[in-house]
Amino acid sequence: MTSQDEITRTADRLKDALSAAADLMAADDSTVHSRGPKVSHVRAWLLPASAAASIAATATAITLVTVLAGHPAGNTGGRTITAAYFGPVHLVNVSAPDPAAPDSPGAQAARGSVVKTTGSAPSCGKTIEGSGFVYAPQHVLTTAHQVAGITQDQTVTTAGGATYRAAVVFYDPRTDIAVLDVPGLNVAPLRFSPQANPGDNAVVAGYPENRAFTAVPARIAQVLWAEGTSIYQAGHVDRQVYEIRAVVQPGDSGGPLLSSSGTVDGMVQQVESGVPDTGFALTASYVQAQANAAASATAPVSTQGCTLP
Amino acid sequence: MFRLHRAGLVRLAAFIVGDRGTGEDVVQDVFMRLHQRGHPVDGDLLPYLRAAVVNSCRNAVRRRLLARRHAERQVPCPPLTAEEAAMLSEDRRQVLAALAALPPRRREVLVLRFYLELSEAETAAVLGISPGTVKSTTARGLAALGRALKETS
Repeated sequence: MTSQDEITRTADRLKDALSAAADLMAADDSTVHSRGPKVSHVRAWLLPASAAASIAATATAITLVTVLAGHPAGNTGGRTITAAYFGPVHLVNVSAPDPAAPDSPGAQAARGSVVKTTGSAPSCGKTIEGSGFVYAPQHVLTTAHQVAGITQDQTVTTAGGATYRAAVVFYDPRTDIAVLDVPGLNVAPLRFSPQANPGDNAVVAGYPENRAFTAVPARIAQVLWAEGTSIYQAGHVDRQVYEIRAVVQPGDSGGPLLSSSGTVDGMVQQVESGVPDTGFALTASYVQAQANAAASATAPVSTQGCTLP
Repeated sequence: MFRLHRAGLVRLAAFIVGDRGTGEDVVQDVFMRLHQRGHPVDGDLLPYLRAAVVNSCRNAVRRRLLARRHAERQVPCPPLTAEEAAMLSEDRRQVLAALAALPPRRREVLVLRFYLELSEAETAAVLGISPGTVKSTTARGLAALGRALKETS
């Protein structure tokens, strides 16, 4: 009764109508995330975080930001941010950090175990600098995204200025965790903390923007599982992170989030969130689950490719 | 993963249930359940997510039908708002209205086949039915849609 031509024509009309309606809905997707206040999307792929940082540290600077518009400045609670391979995360409010936190004896003592990492990725014409910390004898923990694609001149420099050759012996783009073997680095490993609690004082320690050792006050806002992807934006990865209130800068990635007693609460992940004074750190337990296995590894592994397009 | 697929899944759900608010709720619920189960999943979750969304849509439609027994109202061009519908041609509006009037199973099959452009095998996997059923349901769905469109035009 119905000819094949008619069926085909109906199918074409249906496809056309569905696709036109989907386009209209897509135009309105900015409201999908919130079902409340209008959301504005700001999209940028791995932005160089600062022109001054030149090619350095851009590996740590990230992306796609979703911020609830019309929110009072300085009040981060209630906003939702999404970075390239991280989030969405609903931020919570927490009081400002204690400015004296970096002066605590524990944080001061940890300084010698926080290192700067540097390496070249000729395949993508980059030198990448970031932070890391000694977590086992002659082994440094850092983020995978700041060693991604590095094949030359991987080094580690201490706060005192001594530089050592290093090799990536663990590289996990899913969790964003990497381990460097640094022969000759005789620095006491930092110890990991048990879980930190919202409200706890902490310190972000690292080498932001290729500068000297820097420690800034932080406060734990919440612990959560952030949904995301691998650093190559593939698959689905849940990472346990602390949201922290702190001024986290490009280059801080890979550095420790220190408790006031100098133990490691987590590993800082610099996320270009567009929200001031808000940063993230992978929790100690999440990091340890990956890194402990590599604490005495010495065989170099591939760092795959750069994370920049 | 969720950021990536959320908008697409909401549109899928919206086409099936006929309105976007419900579609968003359905997708939200699916993600919540996934999260509560502590799904540490990597890899391609999309087929699972689609199946979960279609299933939840059925439940949502069932609940809403019960609620609507009393206050029956005609949605002019689901799942679009009146303003958006006004931006569509008359022909497209009629097609969407006819789609919304089809029985749920036929609507699901047609949306999966012609919006997501899944193959018969993929559609079968999402809905948990045989490829043969997808084929016959597609044919009947298109025929019914064609008839409905003839009546209105």
